Amino acid sequence: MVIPWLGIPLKAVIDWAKPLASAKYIEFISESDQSMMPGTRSGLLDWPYTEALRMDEATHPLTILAVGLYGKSLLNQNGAPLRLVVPWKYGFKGAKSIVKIRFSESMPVSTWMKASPKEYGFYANVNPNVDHPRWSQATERRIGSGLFQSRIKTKMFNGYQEEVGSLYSGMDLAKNF
Amino acid sequence: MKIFTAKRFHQLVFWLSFAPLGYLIVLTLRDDLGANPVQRLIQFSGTWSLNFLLATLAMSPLVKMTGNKIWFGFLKLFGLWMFFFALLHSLVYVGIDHAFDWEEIFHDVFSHVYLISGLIALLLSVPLAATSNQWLKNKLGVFWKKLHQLIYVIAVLAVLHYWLAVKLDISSPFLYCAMLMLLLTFRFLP
Repeated sequence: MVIPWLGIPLKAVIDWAKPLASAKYIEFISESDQSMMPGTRSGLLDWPYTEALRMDEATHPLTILAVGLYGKSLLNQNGAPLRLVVPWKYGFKGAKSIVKIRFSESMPVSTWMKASPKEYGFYANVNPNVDHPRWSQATERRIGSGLFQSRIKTKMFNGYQEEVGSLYSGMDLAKNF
Repeated sequence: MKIFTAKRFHQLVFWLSFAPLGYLIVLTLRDDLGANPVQRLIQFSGTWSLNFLLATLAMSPLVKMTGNKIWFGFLKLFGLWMFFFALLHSLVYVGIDHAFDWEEIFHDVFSHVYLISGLIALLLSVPLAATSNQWLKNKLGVFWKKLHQLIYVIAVLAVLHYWLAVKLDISSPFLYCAMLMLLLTFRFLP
């Protein structure tokens, strides 16, 4: 889907927090109250949901902490009160209902990396050239375009090649997926 | 005058077997297929193809358990519904999801095991569907029986296709796999 998010640049929060120079990564931990979130009772994933970004990805102007969408505040099921939006990455990077943020020297292991390391990597950049082990990532269906919605070709970095490509120059994106 | 005749039972099951398709048509016409209608169509037709496939495999065990051969009378009905939903499933994938982009489809199918598995299951089902009438059954004799043993291969390929297509939560394919193994055990155990 193409969502009109409302939010603040994550950079603003990072600047306010004044992390040490040794901070290389930022980690997000989500709410996992079993009484409110029945899904967290399942052992399918290692709760609480954890995600992370490299500091340069986190301070990029496109990275925001969303507080609302379509002009309204986030509802609980949309990940209230705070939700991470990183538009050039796959959706699972966008942690919802964030309750704790911390900085780290070493690369954190996210929940999905733990669940299936061959399928879900740290970077999770939208990349039509790097297939998932079992299926292709070359095309996508845009949700909301109806029953006869045709698939469209997936764009590198979800169309943000110009804005974020330089963050990954020299990196083997097939290895660092 | 018996009320519960074999013929009436057969008619009841015949009309009931239209329910999944009917439900799907209603959902489609009411635009009630959800936020991702193409995915819903693919998943609905896929699961019902599997449901009818497992139903065909359940007939022989039911005959053994109830001592009544009436269940054999449903093999053709369930088999054809299985094929119908498999065809619908494939048509939505090819025609709606990928808009008949054959180059893209060939690349997708032949580089991914779950799709190769599904394709073979579909292709193997074609001769079964094509020979599912009494005239050909009589004409082909022993060969017909041997040909229709392919249903076991199709079943395994179909469950594999489902299992590999699912992300992390394999609970549903696991259930189908367990049911398949149970039915195969019933069928092949003396």
